[in-house]
Amino acid sequence: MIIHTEDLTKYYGCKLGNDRICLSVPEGHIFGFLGPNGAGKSTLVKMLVGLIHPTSGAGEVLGRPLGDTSARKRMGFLPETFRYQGWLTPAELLAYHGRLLGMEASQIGPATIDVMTQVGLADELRTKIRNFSKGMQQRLGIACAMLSGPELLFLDEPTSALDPLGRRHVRELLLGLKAKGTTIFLNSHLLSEVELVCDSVAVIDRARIVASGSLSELLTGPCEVEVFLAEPFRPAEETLAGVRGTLLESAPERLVIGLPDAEAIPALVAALVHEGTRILGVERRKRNLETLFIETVSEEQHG
Amino acid sequence: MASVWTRSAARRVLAVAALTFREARRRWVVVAAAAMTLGYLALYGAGLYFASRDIAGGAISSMDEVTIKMIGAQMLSLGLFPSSLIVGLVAVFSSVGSVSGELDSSVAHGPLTRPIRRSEYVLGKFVGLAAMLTVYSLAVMGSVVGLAVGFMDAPTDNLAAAIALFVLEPLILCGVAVFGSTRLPTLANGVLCTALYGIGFIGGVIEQIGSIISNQVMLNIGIVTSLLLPVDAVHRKAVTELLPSGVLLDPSGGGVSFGASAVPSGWMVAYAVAFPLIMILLGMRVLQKRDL
Repeated sequence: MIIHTEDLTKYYGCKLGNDRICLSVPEGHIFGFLGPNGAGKSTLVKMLVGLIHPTSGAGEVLGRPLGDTSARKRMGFLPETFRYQGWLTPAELLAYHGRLLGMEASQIGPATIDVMTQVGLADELRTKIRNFSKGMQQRLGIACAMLSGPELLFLDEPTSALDPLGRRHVRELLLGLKAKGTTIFLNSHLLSEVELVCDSVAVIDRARIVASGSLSELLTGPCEVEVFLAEPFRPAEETLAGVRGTLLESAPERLVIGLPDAEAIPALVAALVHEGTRILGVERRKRNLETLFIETVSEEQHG
Repeated sequence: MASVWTRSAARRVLAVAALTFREARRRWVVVAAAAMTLGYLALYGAGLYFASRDIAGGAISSMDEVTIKMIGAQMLSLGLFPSSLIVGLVAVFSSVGSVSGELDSSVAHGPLTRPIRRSEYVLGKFVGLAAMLTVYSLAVMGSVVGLAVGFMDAPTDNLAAAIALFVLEPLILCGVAVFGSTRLPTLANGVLCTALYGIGFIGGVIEQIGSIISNQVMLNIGIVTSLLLPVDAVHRKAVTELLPSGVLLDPSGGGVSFGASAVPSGWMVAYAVAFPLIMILLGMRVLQKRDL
């Protein structure tokens, strides 16, 4: 595991920031970290990159204990509040970061051109950062995080300031990095973006992890089928019982039926047709990340 | 500690220092101070010019050479205190936000997640600011001494030691301000450092008066304030080193030693040299422990 934490806890005075976080991120994955505002996402990221000290618990990043500076050579970080010295040019900023990373002067120039090209800012190397739009600054932040070709990237809301084209560009960039073996810890509110790129996710709510696992596992929920009818119809209870189905919603020309698994769908359709209704369409309801997120977080809040 | 000082650590410190030096030059406080300093030097130079012209032209015919030397020394001592004050204020205001400003704006989050120790970051900040302040104070003090010597042939004694002590003054203030900025918000740190500077100055004046009237309590107050911030003590020592004894007409020039008993001891000077380093070590420790 490239990231591993055990009961990582952080208190800010009396306020709980993270509560016994146990997390494992496999190498080469894009890991999505989700949660509502104030749930403790940034607290965990800041502990993992060494900006804040845990109150208790332990963790390892790249095989080194949290806060170990040597591991930072092999990782990059885009903070949520990305701010840079406006009087610098990107070339100067990246040269500064390159020196902090221990890169040789001869390496910094080519690496700078490479990462700036990847984020689409190759023509802006000599432009003062203060003249950059917020979106350009965010892309510059991603370039800065990628400078040394890190094995692990922490990106805190990397597309918050980007337009849809910029988001797509970053999405492709992340998938490209993953193809090269880079592990990405992605902290984002944009669930659709996360769903498109992440292999696994964890959801944090009120300082605790409330769901985690591979995306495919988490999105495979109960089988729900939406049936579109030619005329109003309500199936008999014994018809549903025959396929172990449950009527979840009933509109005049639409039914939503819960089934034990997808294997029961043909039997359900056959039973409904046998009962005399005319079916115009059948669609299996897909659970998406947004549904999972809302269900998980609201369950926690109400339960 | 030996392992800390590897070549790569030194490179990281220098990287932070170089950027801090460049940034410090750009700060409005430094730009404004540089402009005001030029104005101040022009005014000071004009005063010296007119005084020297009258003396050279025989307008003050009754003066002997000793008196002229005394006037030169007095003019020099008068020029040193405001120069020291300007340099001190520039040191405070250019350093109070050195760490806190970057933490508040999140600019520091990028660099501090690089393989750099927080102690190296604090040291780099101090080195960069100290380099800028050294250049600035050398230019200011060098100009004041140069003008006084050039126009008035002001006598100087131990010039190298005096200049070194003048340069030490802003470094002491810079050390305190960088230390404060590792914990306090910029504004609070600025108020605290300026107040401390004022307390140190008043303490120095009390010590000098105490020396004249032989009041031990007043002398002790001065020693305590010098321990809190040894800037005034260093200034008095610098003036004593610069001006040969017995050349001052009137000791009213601010910061000028009133008598031998008010001249800081060698121990106080050693403490003053160690003071910014102690402050930086404390700043390193504070930043290492805090959450960012």
